[in-house]
Amino acid sequence: MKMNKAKVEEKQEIGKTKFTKEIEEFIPPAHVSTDMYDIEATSGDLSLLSKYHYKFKQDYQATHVVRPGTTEELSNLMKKCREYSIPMTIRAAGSSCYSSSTPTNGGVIIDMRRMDKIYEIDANNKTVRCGAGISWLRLIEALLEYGLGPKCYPTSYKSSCVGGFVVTSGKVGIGVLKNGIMKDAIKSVVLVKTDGSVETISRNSQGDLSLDDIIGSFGIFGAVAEVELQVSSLYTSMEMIGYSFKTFKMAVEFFRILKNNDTNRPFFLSLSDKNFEKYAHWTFPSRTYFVYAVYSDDPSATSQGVSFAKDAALKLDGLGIEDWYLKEKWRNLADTELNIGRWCQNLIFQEYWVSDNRIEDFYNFYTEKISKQKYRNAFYLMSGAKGGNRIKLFGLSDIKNSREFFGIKAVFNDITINNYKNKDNLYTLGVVNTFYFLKYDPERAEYLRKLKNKLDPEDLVNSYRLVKAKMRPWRVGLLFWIAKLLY
Amino acid sequence: MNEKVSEDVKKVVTSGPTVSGMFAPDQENLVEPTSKSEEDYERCTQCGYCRLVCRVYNTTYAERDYAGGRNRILKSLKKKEIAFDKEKIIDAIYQCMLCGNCRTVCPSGIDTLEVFQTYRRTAVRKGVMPEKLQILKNSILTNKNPFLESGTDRFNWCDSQSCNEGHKAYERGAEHARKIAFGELKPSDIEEHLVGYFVGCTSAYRNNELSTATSRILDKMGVKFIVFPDEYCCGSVLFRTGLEDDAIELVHYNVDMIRKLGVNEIVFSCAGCFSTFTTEYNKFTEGDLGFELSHMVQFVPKVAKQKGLKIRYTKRTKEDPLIVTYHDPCHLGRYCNVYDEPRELIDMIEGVKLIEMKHNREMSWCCGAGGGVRALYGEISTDIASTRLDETVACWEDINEDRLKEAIETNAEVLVSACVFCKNNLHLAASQTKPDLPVIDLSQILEDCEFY
Repeated sequence: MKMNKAKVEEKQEIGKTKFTKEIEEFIPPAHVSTDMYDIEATSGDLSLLSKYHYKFKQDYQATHVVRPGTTEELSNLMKKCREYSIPMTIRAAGSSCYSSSTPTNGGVIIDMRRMDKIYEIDANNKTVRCGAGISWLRLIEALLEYGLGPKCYPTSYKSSCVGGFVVTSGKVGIGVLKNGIMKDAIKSVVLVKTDGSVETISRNSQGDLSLDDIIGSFGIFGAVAEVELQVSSLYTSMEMIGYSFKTFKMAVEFFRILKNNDTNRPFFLSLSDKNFEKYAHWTFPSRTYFVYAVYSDDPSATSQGVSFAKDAALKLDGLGIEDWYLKEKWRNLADTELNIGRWCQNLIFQEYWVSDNRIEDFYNFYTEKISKQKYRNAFYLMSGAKGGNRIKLFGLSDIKNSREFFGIKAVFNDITINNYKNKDNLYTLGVVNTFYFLKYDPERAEYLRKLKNKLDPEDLVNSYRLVKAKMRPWRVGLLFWIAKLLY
Repeated sequence: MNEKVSEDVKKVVTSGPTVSGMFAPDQENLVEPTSKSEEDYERCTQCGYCRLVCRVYNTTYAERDYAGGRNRILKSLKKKEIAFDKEKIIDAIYQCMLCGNCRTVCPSGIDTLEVFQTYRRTAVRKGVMPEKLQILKNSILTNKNPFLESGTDRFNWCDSQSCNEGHKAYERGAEHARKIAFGELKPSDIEEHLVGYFVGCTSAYRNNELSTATSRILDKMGVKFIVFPDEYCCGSVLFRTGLEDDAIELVHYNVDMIRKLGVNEIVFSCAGCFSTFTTEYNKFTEGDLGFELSHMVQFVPKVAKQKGLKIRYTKRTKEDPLIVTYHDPCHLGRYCNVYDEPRELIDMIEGVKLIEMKHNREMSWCCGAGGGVRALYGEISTDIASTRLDETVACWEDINEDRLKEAIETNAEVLVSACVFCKNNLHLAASQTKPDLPVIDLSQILEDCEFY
């Protein structure tokens, strides 16, 4: 016999209460929240779009926010969720984009931020073992006491967490060009798998999952609870150089020369247009394109790197930028992308992964697009390790002008499709853009889907990421086609 | 690390992000935000900088409790995506000290203090009213103080026995007010620079050691000040908790009362009263209060310089100074930008030496008492104060290490502040967790000083 709606809701309510009581037996009640405002505040990331994709699907909203403090608490929680077939969304700082941290199926939001302890710093072997929920800034501060620093870390280090950088791939950031990407720095991770079992995974692991599967997995195979990292001694000198160029071609050439100089690789390397510099720092005292490099090593190596860069700049007619600007840019590197938010009410952006040899093609396609649909824009390229780069495109939109908003999104959509067609992809994948990945990288998607089905047959953990999408490409295409017509 | 390498590393790491810490976005080359309004939360990019500095979040770990999370709630409320439940929303509104550290680090330049005070005000107008807050409100409106005390007992602290300096100031104030009331004296006829001491409710009813110390310091410095026999609560607690509508009457009353007396400068020992006059009173009088405002930490060094006075702490010597660390009160620092003067003052005192805590000035950690959190969420407030004490102890451990290196005998040190609420909350936490840690107000050190 079919129960009426009220009875169903009553039964669900009893289930929720029972579940709550059971998890409160192993997690302090203060960290088991059913407060609707707490849930709302914990249901998003940098992007605002997430909820709108699920707005008309009432069950997307979570019923609980739970904050485990230890691997054991996390494991017990995930076991309990599995027992009740309750969906789980794993999140920490929510500093990623595209709704990576957003619940899509209701259930429990597992907030990892209480897992922020440093368990061990081994100064002799230069390793650190810490909870995945620790912020990069806290880890960096702790390592400093030992004269150590991470080999690489994201420019969002002021807010983002270590675990997040692991599962979102960690291919771009401070130190990657010199020391390698996050994957190279990880010695092992403790993963609480979707069934709540705990496994330590290192390079030599022979289980279902390899370290490669976890890095860039966006948490679909479970929650990273602990991370063991190789770190390095802090460098003893640092210098910055910055040159501006009249043409993009010359700027890219200079950028490539610095990037491919294996003897003295920059600690940080970027290429931006004048708009970006002006929006990020207000005054930019020079030409249209700007290449910025930071060298950090022992004094001799740093000096060699800088000399090399200066010679190369001279040959390419690069115009040196004033020292105060270079220093300020470094000091506030984490803030530069965020500062653009001061110029508008609704900052829109998209991040792309573009191979070294396609930078100019990407830029030409981009400029062609924005020449047709004018909006306030900015271009920022940050070097990854050899082979690839993150390009971030900005659109400065007025929150009240929805035509402009969708128009800019339509431009980003065209560039994304073009990027995939040329064997590049998006840098960050989340709930709202997984459909691109599914359509344009079907082989990888299929591999991940099989693994996901095996480990999480009910699709309870971080659903609608990487292996499944609610959005359909034809609907998105139609939406943006209309948007371009109206804009 | 050897010492040379350590020095080199320090030079490198203080110049950039490698380990540069959670500094404020203090770029000189940074444009002001395009718009600023009560609805500034719309511009929040959810970057999460404020999460790291929020003392409440770092105690509760709840996203609801820091500025970015609150901004998200505000956006959803505006779009009616979540319901406004006047009971359930109380914690999401009031579990915040309004310390302003989030405003300091916001790269979008959002005035979070304005946003959250507006949020509270709007919520109160919609019927949100925590029970304890209702009691405070009633007491302020009825008794002109938040402590349920009789208004007539406001000056019990300054009878001739317990504080003769305060008593004389009270008598001068009463006589001055009488002359004005009876037309024997016109404000325009007052030739001297008349200084009034606005005592404030907490110093008057709960922390007489502050009002007493302040009166004695002013007297020692030769300042012929008055207190205001008709002083009412400044309304600080009402402004901070969304009850601004009820505070306006107090603003007009106090301003009129002071103006009528022809006082040129008001001195405060309470950072809360000082910031309320500086920010809110100035706003309601369109920046034309008609008298100057000085906190004691500003007034003392100013007068000492004018009169060529030196200050010596009588309990210690130059060679064996009392080592203090200074806790910046939010109401003086982030609210009113008073950072240099208290340090300058401590520097002026022979026999006292200042050592900074890690988080100081704009990035100082809140003590946990502000914004109604002490009254409404005592436990959280104490937890937050305890973390500040941990930092104090850590700072002292560093000091002691240095001192041992220098083979100087270790002496007791104290944590000083210039806000009665900071003092009380930190003192309470210390009594529970670190009973050997003295927490005092700067005026209590000055009370033991000679001015010569």
